[in-house]
Amino acid sequence: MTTLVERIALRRAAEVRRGRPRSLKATVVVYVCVLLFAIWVLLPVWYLVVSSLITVAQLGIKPFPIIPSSITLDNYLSVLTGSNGGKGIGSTDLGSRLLPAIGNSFLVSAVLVVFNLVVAGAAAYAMSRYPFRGGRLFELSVIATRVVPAIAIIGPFFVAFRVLGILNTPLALIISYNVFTLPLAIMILKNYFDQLPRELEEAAKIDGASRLLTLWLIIVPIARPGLVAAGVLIFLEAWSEFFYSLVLTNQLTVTPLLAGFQSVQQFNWNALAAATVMSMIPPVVLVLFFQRHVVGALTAGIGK
Amino acid sequence: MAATADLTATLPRADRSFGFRLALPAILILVVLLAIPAILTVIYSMHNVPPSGVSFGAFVGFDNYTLIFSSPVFWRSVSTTAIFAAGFVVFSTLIGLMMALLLNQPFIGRGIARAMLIIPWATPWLVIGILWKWFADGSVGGLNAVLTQLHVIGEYHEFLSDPKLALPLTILATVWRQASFAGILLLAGLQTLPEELSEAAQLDGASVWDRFVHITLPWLRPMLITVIVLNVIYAFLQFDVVFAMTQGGPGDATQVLSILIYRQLFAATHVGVGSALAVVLGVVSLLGGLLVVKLLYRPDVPAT
Amino acid sequence: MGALQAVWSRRLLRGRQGVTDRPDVIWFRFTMEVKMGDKTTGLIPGQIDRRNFLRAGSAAMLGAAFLPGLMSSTAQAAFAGKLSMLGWDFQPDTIKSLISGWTAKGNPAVDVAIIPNLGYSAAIQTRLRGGDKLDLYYNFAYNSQKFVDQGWASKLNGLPDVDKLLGDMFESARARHVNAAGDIISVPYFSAVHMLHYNAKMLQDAGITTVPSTLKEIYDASKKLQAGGLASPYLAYWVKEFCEEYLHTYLLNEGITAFDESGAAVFADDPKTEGVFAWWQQMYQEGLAPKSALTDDPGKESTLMAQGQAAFFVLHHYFLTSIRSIGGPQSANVKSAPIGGSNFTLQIGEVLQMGNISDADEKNAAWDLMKYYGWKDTDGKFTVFNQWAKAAGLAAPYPGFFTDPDVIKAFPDYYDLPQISKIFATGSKVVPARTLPWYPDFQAKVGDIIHALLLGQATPKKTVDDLTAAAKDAASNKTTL
Repeated sequence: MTTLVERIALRRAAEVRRGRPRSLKATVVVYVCVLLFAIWVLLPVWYLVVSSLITVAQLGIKPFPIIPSSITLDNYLSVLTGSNGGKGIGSTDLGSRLLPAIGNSFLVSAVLVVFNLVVAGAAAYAMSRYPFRGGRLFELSVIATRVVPAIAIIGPFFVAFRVLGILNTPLALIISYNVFTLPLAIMILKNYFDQLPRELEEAAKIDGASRLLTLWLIIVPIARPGLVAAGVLIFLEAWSEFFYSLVLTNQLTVTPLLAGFQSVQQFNWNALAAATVMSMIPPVVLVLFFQRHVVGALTAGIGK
Repeated sequence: MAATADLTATLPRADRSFGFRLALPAILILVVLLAIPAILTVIYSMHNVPPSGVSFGAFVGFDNYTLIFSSPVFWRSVSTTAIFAAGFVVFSTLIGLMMALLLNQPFIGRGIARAMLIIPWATPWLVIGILWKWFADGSVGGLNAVLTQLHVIGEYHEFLSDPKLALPLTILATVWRQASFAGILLLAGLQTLPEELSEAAQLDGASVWDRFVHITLPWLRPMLITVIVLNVIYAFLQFDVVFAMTQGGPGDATQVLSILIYRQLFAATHVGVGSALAVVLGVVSLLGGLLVVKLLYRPDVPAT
Repeated sequence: MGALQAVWSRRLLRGRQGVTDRPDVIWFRFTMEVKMGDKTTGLIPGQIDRRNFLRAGSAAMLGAAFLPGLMSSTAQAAFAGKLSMLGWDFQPDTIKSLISGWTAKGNPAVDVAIIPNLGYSAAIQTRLRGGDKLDLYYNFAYNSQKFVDQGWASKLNGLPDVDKLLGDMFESARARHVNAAGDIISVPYFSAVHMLHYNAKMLQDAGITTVPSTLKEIYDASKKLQAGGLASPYLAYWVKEFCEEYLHTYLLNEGITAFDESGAAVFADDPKTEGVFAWWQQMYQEGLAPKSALTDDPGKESTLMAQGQAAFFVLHHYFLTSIRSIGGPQSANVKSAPIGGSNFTLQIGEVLQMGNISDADEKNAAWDLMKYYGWKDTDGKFTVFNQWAKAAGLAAPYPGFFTDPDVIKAFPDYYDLPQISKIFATGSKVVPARTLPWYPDFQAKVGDIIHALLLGQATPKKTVDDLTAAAKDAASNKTTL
């Protein structure tokens, strides 16, 4: 993991080297490829955004307009206020449910991030620095858990949550999502800790600091990039989760709500597009904000 | 991951027990949340569980497995899953690699391009399914609009109702997201590649291709293996996208194993058979991942 | 509280609300009620079959009864908790306002949960299997018997006024709610008949003088329209889950009964069956129905009709509301007509079932809600169905519904209510086999088999064989993938 200083040095070196001219042919090739890349990434997104800004009638025009003749914010309004303004079929209270659903998704994901970072962080740190008997076995079983099809094991969860009376609450999701976030967090953090230099801990130990204190006061600040990255990944996984939320709750979070919007009687791709755009914003913004950390921690230790 | 087994022996007992205590919460959670339901699933797979779920039902040994392995529906699903997985892994890795190579080149707007790379990855799988279902729609879809305007196809085509094209299209949708994931990881790997290496090779007269094959690829090997193994497992367990896009149809053109599990466990409520299918899928994913590791991993190749 | 006392106290309450009746009627009704109440116990199976029961039930219908104070008085114990109700995502605003209207009349509060229509069956079975306690819930008719068998739904025998509710129904509809043993397993949520929505102007322009009604006529008319430039004139909702409804619709159109009295699949015996499947395959293969018919939503198909990109749409009668309210360029030209010629069309209805409730007060409260939601309110008005008629054109399987002046006002004027009522009464059939306990297993297979037919992967003959085999397997409880 390069520190800030090293990164600056590298960039400066690269800038110096950039003085070396690239052939015209190569430049053209690169920019054409960049254009293709942009189309690949943006075309579906563009379609989604445009769909959310036009009316139902405009949607029927063939071919689909890349630049629409007129745009409207009605779809966003109808999703936010819950009215089905315009020519749609039937009533929908999607609007009144979307914002609370986004809030619930946030709540569940945020709590999971904190919880997983603490628990997985501790476990990963232990596996890396204080390997215990059975640690190797634990490590292998963590990897093995990635291949368990989540949809198959949901039955026992349902029964347990019903007994506890927490069905259709965020708590049910917070507990059950650990099934896939915890192993992921452990794997990433262990990788990360493995390539964190041990000198600092050694120094602290010599100074007589207790193990727990070392962990808390020294390691955690240094490991911040890795923790942030793991946090982002956990957030994304929790935000994306669909099936568990579908079964264990009544469309409490965003994903089953969007899926339900495609139900039989209520058709309106434009409104659904608006809702989809709104539900894509939080994770995209979050990842963009933290992208440097994410990439760094994901790749830390690989190649060693 | 770095080997931890060898350190165990040298660590004092106090340290080992500290490590164990740190990892204990994680161990407990995984045991309760994963191990128990997984074991229950295996038990279910050997019984004829009644839909009401009030009991395990009659013990039938391996009858459910026999039923599965003798069913042509199962084997068609296996081949569909295999094709899906192959397409998914190959194309997301290749396109990801191409994007990483491109984004490693200097050009104007590279920062924005790198941010754009992240967008597909930050999108939840379900949203990918919804988005591509409409993007590929036969009357209002953007894909048709683009292809007809580029004169690639003559008129609007119903991609998702065409049994020959439905599976490629689901592969395309999942690749759209996963290529970004691969791209991010591979780009990070590329950024650690020291420029001096390729510079030296260039001075020696090596062509672009030579440099790619003999320097870039070996450097990226560990990263590529990680990406491929993760993708293989993702591919086998993929559910959300297929569920949102085609539900396994048209006919059984996109009926991958996870959809089959869903149908048996939840639609037909044959819990025993569904659980057996889940066990089979889990084993297949594990074998797939192990196979890839075995084929590609060569620890004797030096990293520098 | 005993069943009889419950009956009596309800009467008392109604009496307080000013509903009275003649004493001799009261006594007759009381004795019939007692006899009805005994029907669920101690009967030798087979001694009374569904037809007898239904006839007896309708004979007992004689209006509201008011029992004189012969029994000792017990005040009606009110249920103090909250009822829980589960429904799918169709106009949740309307559902909630209807329910709160009921609560406002002094009834218990209701927790209404809405889950997506897609995967509803799977989701509710998972919840019930996990032990979820629901007081009442929507269900698909073909699942209703299975749910009773699994202990997830209660039988409604002996509950106050249940026989009156059934008596109020079209005779053709009763078989949906009463199984072969005479048990009442559900009440209506809504009912509909499959009709042909067609664009009158397009037909006129193409020189088609009579609205097609048989399968052959529809084929010919579609061919003509296709030749005139309409790419895919015929629309239908042929997704896997729904193929089973069309299976019955098309078979009934040709006068073929799919299942006999004992639930055995007999369509293979009728030589016309293969022709139906050949027709179905032709419609798809020749492009008369669009390729996307296998995956399209009805909402999308309504839009296509409204935009004038198709001329025929066969689905439930209430989709006329959808097509018209979209307000597309061709919306106003779309009308509805019966199908099946001199034969029949399919009458469907989705149902309300009562969960497994042990507490008597809770059960009564839930039953009250079910009667309100699936029949009439305490003033004898079709309040709920009135709302559904206004909001979506849904129908109820009661003849009185179609002649109720409020309902007539509620339906948009482009509906021909007498025509629809006639179809309900004599032009349609409910398929009783759909309430057999093994039917869901058969239903799950139909989609796969029909899709294979339409995609050209199976011949009509093979389709007949496959469907017969699927029915046989389901009936013998054989599990197949």
